[in-house]
Amino acid sequence: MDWAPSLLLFCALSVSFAWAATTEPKDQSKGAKGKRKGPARDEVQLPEAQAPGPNPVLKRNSMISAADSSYTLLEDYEQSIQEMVSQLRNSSEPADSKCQVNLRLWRSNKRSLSPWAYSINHDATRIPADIPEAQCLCTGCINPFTMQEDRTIVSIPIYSKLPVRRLLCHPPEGSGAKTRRKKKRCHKEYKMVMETIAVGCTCIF
Amino acid sequence: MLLKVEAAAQILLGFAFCQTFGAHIPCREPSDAELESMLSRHLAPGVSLLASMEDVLPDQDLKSCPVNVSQTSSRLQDRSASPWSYRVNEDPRRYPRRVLEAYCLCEGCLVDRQEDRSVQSEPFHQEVPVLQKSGRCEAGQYVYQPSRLQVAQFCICTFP
Repeated sequence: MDWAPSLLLFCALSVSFAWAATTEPKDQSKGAKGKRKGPARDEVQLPEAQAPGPNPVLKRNSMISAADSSYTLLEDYEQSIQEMVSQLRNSSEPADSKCQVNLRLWRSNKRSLSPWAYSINHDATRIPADIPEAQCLCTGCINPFTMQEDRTIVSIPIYSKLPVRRLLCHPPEGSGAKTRRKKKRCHKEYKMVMETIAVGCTCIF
Repeated sequence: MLLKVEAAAQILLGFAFCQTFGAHIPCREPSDAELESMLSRHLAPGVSLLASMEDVLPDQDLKSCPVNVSQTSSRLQDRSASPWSYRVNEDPRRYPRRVLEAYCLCEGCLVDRQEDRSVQSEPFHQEVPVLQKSGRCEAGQYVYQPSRLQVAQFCICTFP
């Protein structure tokens, strides 16, 4: 029975090695976790998020199939809207409201058979206060053969719901008839609501 | 000598036992209710990304390009020169896991009663707030981070 303790030791060692082998990937994931612990921005390193253009909304929409499952960080969203709004405001181009396509621009709204332009929808009680809103430039659509407006087909806006924060003004609790007179005294509170806004135009028969 | 070996073996066995059953606590998924409440801070409460439009049902089998435009339909997606339909975009590492998205039925556009490939159908995307699962585990739960997903909303006909 001299071999009994060494067998026991061998068993113990093999169990601990087997454990070490199984935990190795977990340790690696822990290491990776450590790396991710830095700024939250590193978490979502996706192709779309890596290349913020000066006009992210338009730029992304001009891509055809690359956006199938692409994520961007939430903080970037309001910023991308703001950038688009400031670009619209500072645009050196004259407000192009003609019913025509512009093939020199790589923007889907100007290359569409139902082209549209963006105007700024402003509301001071909302965050973001300024949102670009699409306006169809043609009543009909551009005929791809003649490149002229064809009124047998129609440009129509497509509406979508955007999440925005709306400023609500609640009177303070326990407010009686006295405080009601002072309308300005109230708690400011933002509520998340869905706002319907035209995002683009399509051409229908 | 024998006692020493036995003691060492026991320590090792004890260590292996502790490693197996003690230190390793599996990370669990947060409940749907928790995720819903987290998402409602970024999306108005009660809004579903799977049924954002009325009367829209996702296709089980994807449709192909129709021979010509259905002018009698009341739905815009059937009457468009760049017709589209809706399907489910599914990702188990995201909340909501199922999101409704538009897909274009044709490569070209329906012009003059037939598909014209000199122009192209193109999906138009919009960002929607979602939660994305990270590899991190905090307090025994996977961490979901707020992010935005590009979702195709409809299709437009453009010059290539």
